[in-house]
Amino acid sequence: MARTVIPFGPQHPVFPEPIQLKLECEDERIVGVVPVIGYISRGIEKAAELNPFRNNIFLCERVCGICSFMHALCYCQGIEDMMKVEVPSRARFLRVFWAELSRMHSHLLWLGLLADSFGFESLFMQVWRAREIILDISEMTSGHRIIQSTNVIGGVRRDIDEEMAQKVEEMLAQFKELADRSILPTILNDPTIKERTVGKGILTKEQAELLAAVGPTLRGSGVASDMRMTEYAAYKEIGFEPIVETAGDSYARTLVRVKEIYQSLDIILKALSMMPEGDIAVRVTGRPEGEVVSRVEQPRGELIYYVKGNGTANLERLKIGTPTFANIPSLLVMLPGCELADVPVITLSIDPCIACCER
Amino acid sequence: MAIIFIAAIVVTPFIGGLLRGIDRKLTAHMQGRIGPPIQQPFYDIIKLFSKSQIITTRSPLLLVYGYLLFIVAAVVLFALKQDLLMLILVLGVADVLLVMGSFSTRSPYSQIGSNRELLQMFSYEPILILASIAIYMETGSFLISRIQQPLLPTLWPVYLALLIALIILMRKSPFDISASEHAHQEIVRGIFTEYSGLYLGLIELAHWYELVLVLAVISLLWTAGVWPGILLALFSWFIVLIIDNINARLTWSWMIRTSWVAGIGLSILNIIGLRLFGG
Amino acid sequence: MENEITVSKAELITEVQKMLAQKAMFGTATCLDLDERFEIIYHFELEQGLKMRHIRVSLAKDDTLPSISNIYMCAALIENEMQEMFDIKISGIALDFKRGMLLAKESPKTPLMKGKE
Repeated sequence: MARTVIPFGPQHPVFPEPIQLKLECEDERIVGVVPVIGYISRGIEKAAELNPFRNNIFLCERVCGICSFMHALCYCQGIEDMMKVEVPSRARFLRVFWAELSRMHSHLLWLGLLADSFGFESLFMQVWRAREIILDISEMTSGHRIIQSTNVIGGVRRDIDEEMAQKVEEMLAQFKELADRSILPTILNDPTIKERTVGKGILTKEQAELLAAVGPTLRGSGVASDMRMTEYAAYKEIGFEPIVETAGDSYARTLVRVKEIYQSLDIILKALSMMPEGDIAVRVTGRPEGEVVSRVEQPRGELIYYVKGNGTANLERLKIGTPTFANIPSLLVMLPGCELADVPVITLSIDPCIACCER
Repeated sequence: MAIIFIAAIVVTPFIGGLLRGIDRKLTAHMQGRIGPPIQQPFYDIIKLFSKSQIITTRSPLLLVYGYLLFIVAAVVLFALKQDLLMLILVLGVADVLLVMGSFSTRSPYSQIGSNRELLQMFSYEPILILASIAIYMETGSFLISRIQQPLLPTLWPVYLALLIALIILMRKSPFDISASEHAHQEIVRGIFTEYSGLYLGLIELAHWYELVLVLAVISLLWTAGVWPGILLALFSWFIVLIIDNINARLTWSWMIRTSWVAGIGLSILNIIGLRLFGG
Repeated sequence: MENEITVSKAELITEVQKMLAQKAMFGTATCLDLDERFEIIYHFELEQGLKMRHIRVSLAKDDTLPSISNIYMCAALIENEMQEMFDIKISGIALDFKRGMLLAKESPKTPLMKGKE
């Protein structure tokens, strides 16, 4: 059988962002895959060396639109760690609040894209409608729908008062009602979704560990690894258990994310009720000096920031290690042997965020 | 005769376009959206016709005209109440022309799309042929004009099989594998990827004819008056819309399995049943 | 940093093999341009990511670094990135993009080197 090379991307309706996969096909079976990245590399690590360290928050927020809050959080925690700043506990709870809110809207965005990739248009519409509620909460509490931009070094920028917390709880109840009614039963029971995802793109536990998969990709393969277990921000007080599935296929990764949506919902409600009174930020003076590695759990997995300060207003080096970059090797293992029709599902099952990946 | 001939050619695309418009509106409502106005398909096709043409390969262009022509011919055959078997053959030829057109381009997307279109053809053509054989057994003729009695009571398994063929022909989930309607799939727009402007418009027009034709074939199953037949066809069309909205797209191997096992199986059982108990 | 060891270039491969024997997961790697030499820090994760281990290697600017991608295949991407962003020579990368992974032909060369504002 003649081999054809199908250029999957860089502009392809399945991908929201430009990445190319050169798929070597025998008929409709994939036998080889070469990733071509670098379409949106913006040199953010270099730009971070040229800015004063406080301004870098805004830069980090723009590494990726969807997980912007996590990037800023990771950066701020790194700098605070380096400068030995004690963040007020109310600020830590507020950080958890927005972090989980971004996780919810990121997972919902992804779920919609996945539904679209296997041609389930009505699920796609329902999921994105539910996501609107989360975006409304984000806008109400931070002033922005996606890039919340509430982190500052030493705390957060905005507070949530009693009245607003009440409103958030109402809206979350509304969201839960919608998700329970139209999203969860479909994902759990629809036979066509299972036909398209179960057993597709299997990543075993050993492979996942050796290839350094992160986030839901890793947890879908049965490894209980989540950076929230390191108890940054207020996860220690709130308590956290990672969600793990063992099948290692696209459906397992889907289930991990769907369950995480519900888990985030619980964490948000807990954070709102447990939030202590007090300041939301401390004043930070001085210049960062030293080296530090900061890690948070982004919706897509572990985010690593290596920050090196040299006692001036500018940083010596900022290294951003992103989850999609870490998950690409796993993708290259999942794809060969699958059918062309499964490529969109498997590719999306790692939740690729190319802007993160290339920085 | 001439009036029917002209009416079939002129009126059919209006019905087809209108059905597509209502289809989009209903689908939108099922998904909780508002959707485009009902006349949107007509705007679309007028816009497509007025686009400047970008042509990558010349050979498919003639084949597009052929595709449209053969489908119109099939519609005319139906309107003149001619041979059902002939009609299915002509429809098959039209589809082969479309596939040949896409095969002659070098884009891997349309190559794979045409491959899948062929598989789709192998899925629905046997159902159509078996359905016409079943109708023959009931009426004693392949001529549409000979159908006098309502057929649904004895031919309901064939009707179910025809529903499967209808989903494939309307390119709806779970069988939208050769060219998904909104282009969000692995081979983008599949078989139509390399067409643009006027030629894409002609294909869309042919699609309208095809839709009305297949619905008309379904309406044949109930000819105690024209209206019940039309209602049956519209009912089947609505069922397809619902199926489209509660299903994900499946793969070609699944499609072959369903259409051959369920579609052909039902039709053959029906024919055997007719031979044993009826006729 | 905590849990950090500094090794020489020759010891790097054995150290990384030790990490593999302990079932450590590869995190990422950072390259630093310290004017007269490079410093490369490999970040590993132990105990499902709860603990970290960093391996620091110092490298003269004209020296060649051995690739660890034969031990950890996933390190190939970050090694490619390092050799594109810095003027560093890495030998034996499992999947070598020849300095064309993130940067295009007309992009600035080795942009993360110091003094390249």
